[in-house]
Amino acid sequence: MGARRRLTPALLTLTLACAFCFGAIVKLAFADDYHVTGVGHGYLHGASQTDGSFFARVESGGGSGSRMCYLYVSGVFVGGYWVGNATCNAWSREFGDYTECRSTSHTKFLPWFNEHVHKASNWCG
Amino acid sequence: MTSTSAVSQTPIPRDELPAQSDELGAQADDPRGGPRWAVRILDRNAGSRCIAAVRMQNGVVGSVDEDGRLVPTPAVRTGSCADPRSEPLQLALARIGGRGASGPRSVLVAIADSSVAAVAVVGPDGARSVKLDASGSFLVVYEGLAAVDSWSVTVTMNDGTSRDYHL
Repeated sequence: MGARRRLTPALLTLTLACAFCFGAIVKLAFADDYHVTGVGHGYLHGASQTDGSFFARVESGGGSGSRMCYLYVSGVFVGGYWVGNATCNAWSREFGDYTECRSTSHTKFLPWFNEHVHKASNWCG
Repeated sequence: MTSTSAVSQTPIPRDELPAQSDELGAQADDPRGGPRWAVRILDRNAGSRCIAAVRMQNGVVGSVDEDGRLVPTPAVRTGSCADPRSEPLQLALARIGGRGASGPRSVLVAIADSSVAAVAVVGPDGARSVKLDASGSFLVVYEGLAAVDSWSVTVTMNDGTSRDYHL
């Protein structure tokens, strides 16, 4: 018969801390919608969440570095831009007609943030 | 008895901003034919001017679907948007995934102010000089998705000095 382990307060605290960190990592890798790290960036809906009009955007400012704004649908690259010191604004309509709830933006602007993903608010992927 | 459910009051970001002015700049053929490529210049005289890579045919501007048909797109602020006074050259690389027969493309679009005398582009296939059209814009179209670090643009100013731009 195996030894029984007790869930001591210390072990419980450690377990909760690990769970929190895992959640934070997942949140960072798949950040929701739009946020500011140096400059505003992320995913924006157009006139509605279901009309197939949506954007990947990185705002200007924060230095002169180049910035990337790409759109993916169902994990497949559909299009986007690299720009200099400007607002990078990729609009889905320029690349076709796509299902909005399966779309993500991929944005990058060094040294502020490396490439990461923002999902549609009504994510259904 | 009625039931209620919690509704998030967090505002959902929505941002399809119509441009106040819309014009076409430089144009180029696609390597495989079909609607031509053009630089779309939005809000040229505003504090924030946008340039984007678009397809055009018979005066209609849009994108090409998987069957090769042109689908009109309204004049919405998209692409690269910047203060036209901030740099002599506003530069952007559009990378289009492409579906069906159209295939992926890389399109370098730019617009220069009147202080620019000449522009030279180094792309995936080597160096080439480009000609600015009457709007001050130019574009270069390539098949495939070229790496962003395979591009550089050198601008010669009217006073003989030069500036390099990279993405």
